[in-house]
Amino acid sequence: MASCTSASVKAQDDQVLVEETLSARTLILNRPRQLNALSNQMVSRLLELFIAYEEDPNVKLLVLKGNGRAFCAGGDVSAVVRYIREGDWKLGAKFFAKEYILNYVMATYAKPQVSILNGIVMGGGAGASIHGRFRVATENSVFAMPETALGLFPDVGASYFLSRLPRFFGEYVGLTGAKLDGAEMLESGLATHFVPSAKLSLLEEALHKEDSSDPVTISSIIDKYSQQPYLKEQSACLRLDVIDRCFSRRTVEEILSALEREAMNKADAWITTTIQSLKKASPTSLKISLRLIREGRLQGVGQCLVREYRMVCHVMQGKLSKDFFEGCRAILLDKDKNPKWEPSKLELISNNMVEQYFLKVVDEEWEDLKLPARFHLPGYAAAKL
Amino acid sequence: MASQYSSERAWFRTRILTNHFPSSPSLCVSPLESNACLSYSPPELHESYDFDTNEMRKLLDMHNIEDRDWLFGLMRQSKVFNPQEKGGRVYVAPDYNQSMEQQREMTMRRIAYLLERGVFNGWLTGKGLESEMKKFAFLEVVGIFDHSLSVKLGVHFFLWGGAIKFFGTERHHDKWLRDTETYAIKGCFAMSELGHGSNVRGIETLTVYDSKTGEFVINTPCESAQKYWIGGAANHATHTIVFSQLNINGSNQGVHAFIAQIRDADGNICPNIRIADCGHKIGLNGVDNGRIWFNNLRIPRENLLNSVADVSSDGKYLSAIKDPDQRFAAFLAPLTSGRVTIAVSAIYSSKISLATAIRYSLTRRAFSITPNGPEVLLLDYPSHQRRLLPLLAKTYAMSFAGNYLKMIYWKRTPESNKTLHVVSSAFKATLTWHNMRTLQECREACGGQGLKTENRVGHLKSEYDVQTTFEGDNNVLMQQVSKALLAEYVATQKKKKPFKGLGLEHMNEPCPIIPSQLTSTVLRSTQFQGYQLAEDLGRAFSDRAILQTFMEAEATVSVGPLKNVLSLLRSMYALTCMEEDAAFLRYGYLSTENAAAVRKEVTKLCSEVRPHALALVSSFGIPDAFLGPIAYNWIDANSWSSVKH
Repeated sequence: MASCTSASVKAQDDQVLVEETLSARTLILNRPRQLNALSNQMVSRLLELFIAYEEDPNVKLLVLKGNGRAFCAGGDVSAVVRYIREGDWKLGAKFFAKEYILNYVMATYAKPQVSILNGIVMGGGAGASIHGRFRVATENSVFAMPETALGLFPDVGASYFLSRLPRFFGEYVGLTGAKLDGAEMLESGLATHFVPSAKLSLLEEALHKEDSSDPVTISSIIDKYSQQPYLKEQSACLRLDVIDRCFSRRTVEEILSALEREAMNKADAWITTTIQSLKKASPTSLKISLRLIREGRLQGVGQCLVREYRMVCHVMQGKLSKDFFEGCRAILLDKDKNPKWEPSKLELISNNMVEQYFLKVVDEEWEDLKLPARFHLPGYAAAKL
Repeated sequence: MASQYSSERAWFRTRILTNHFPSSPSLCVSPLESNACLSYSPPELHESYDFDTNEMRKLLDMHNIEDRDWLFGLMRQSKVFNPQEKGGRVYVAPDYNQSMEQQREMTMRRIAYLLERGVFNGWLTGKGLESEMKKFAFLEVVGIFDHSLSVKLGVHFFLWGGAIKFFGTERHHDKWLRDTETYAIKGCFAMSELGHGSNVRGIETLTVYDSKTGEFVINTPCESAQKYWIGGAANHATHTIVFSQLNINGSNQGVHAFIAQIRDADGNICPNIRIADCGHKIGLNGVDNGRIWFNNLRIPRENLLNSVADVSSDGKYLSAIKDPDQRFAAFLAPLTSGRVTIAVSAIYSSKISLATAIRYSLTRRAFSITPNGPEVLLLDYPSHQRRLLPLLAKTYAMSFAGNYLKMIYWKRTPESNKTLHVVSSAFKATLTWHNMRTLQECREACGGQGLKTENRVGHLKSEYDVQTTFEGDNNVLMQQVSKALLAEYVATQKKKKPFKGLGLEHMNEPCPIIPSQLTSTVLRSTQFQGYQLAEDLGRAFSDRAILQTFMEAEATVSVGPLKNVLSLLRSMYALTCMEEDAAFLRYGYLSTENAAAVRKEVTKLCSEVRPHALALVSSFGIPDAFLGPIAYNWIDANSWSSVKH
């Protein structure tokens, strides 16, 4: 499995490219036509490399970036849908299990991971970067957790990292799927640095020369190329008070009515957009996502991933709701952008229905996600955000 | 030899000290070398979870789990709740180093924050069991953050609001409940006086009726009649319930409750009222306790809370209940809610301290068994297990007792009032005493770390001490329990009928014969445990009633690992009670051999509960942000790099 570290692999058809320099290893996500969406093969390869590098004393630093205009647009959902259509949701479950274990390994990694987010960072892409120690945003960064519009929910450990954003910004980002730019990522703590893309090659060169695992040293190197970006005038980061007032509410219904009250007091395009994105999203997704984030706020990253795995299996099994299939049909396959959610309204979804997603999946072969034992838990992991 | 040793020590100290001095800006934040040193290993890595802690939490918290988590999150995310990062984790707790005035101000700001987010919706205007349960759940969660905050809410909603709701009639409800819920007015509750506390019937504040103007006139006739310890009175309250003797045409009708305004909307003290501060206290400094004197204060006739008795406009005293004793009892019955919430919150305080001390004891080592061998985890010492695990079992038992108490309070009827009074008095005293004892043991079990306010366990002692005397002095309450039980006994003997109610049915059976050889199986049987705890009246009643609630909770769980661990804890609870109470030996219910067998069994149970210790405290469902750094990575939290430079 781990015979990969010595030879530089650069074959064009490889979905993860590796560049070796002195003590740094640069991993390049290489499916540019699919915006580097994480395939099963990529996840396996990344996991292999991360585990091998952690043990390899010659490796001190990992750099992760994407080929082309995306860092990574998410997990390879179309493959998962294919598995399910072929009647084997458990293949999908295997994919997610592996992806979540990768997220967990990153969150508890002993060596610094620098992710260069020069483009799209969505869903699984966020999972592959935000858990790492350093996240470098640029003016090209576009971050989003768009799952609720797809009938899914923010997974890949998002219930851990979203819930730790300032105040109730995490609920806002997770429920609405709002897009954030590089400046907003830095402001909210999703990114640790902002480096203009023009300086990226200099930064990478400097990182390649470094022979240290000390986070303080790495941080000061990135600091040299960093600058303080300006938040755009309409930025959600400048509306933390409204977000706080509305998204702190107990239920999705109360969040919506709080937003509607704000809209009545003052006509505002931002609030209207926010309300619209909530109304377009799957009602079931909104409810399970809110509860997920709320529970995640009080738990460790491992517990979050275990719970998300239960939920994603329920979603794929399709017994509780078929919104995920409908979302994929409307957004990815038929592209009519007009999903028919079932149940169609928030008030039709009882607490009991939500509760089902958090219980174990009833299936003989199914079991909870088993995370590998790690030794950098948990204060260290929490320190990153 | 000695000088060589001391020079080595000196060199070692110098090296350590040099490491502490930053030689360059970057050095001061870089981690110290920790190769040969201790490292923190999270207990989750080596401890196992044999049962589902979420299921256990549901059993302990009983209701509104998701609502509780929402409120925990609401507090964790706000600056008002004073989040502090230590060793990479955020902890929320009040800054107890603030002055008394600042702490009081912060309590009000926290209330404003929670109010704005709808936490108190329905606390007084809500209907039905559902809103009642949610209110209790929220009060419990708030108390986990800070006792001052929950007491301040308790005074406003449960005492002031409760008095209006239960002593008042529709005209009072319409006028006051909504405004109370939105904090348009701030209420307090003036019952205790300098000269009278638990003996409410002896209070000296005096009210007469003036039929010419249709007003009541309230007076503080002497210094011992000043209202004392009135939470909210010193700074914030605008209105108060006044408990006073009511004198109509020269005849005293006993204690009645009135509404009086004490401050205007701008916070200025009203005419004919004098207010002074109770001053700094050993705890609860976030609550503004004050003293009140009334000088011919006139209030409209409608301000008499008239659910039990009324005064007509021409000055006639009207009451459906003729006997003043019964009138008084009917009057105070609704105050049971205070004892219920106090009993339950005492157990949450014990849970904080046990979760902290047990997590610490699973990460802190001391002394080696062999020379140069690894040091031993604190909780692997039988003596440490003996100190903490029986308290853990008792806390579980009393959690179930608290749940039972809440249930009988919510479902109370006029017929069940007596049971409710007896049970709530017994449990309030037992649970709050248990909490004080647990806090002290946990603070000692954390060693010096228990002294740090940030670690909570030691500080909670002064915050919760008040519980043993407010809303009824524990000793007085326990005497009332014994009195009620004796009366029940006498009445049953007279009527020659079997015992019914109050959980005394077992007294109808002949006294069981205790085998001279107590085997483990006998000791762990519910039948044996149930019979043994019925002695030594007040306390025995309480111990036994708690055991009963434990057995009932256990019975709802289906066979499996969860039930197994509950049965261990139940045995540990019952046997610990037997071991601690000398009455069993005094009255000869246990022989000295039996007592020795009980003691041995508790030790054995300790070793069986030990593997579940982490899972048992995780099941309390208290988020890490609400415990102290000592419960998590205490090395990181104390490292040089986390010192604020």
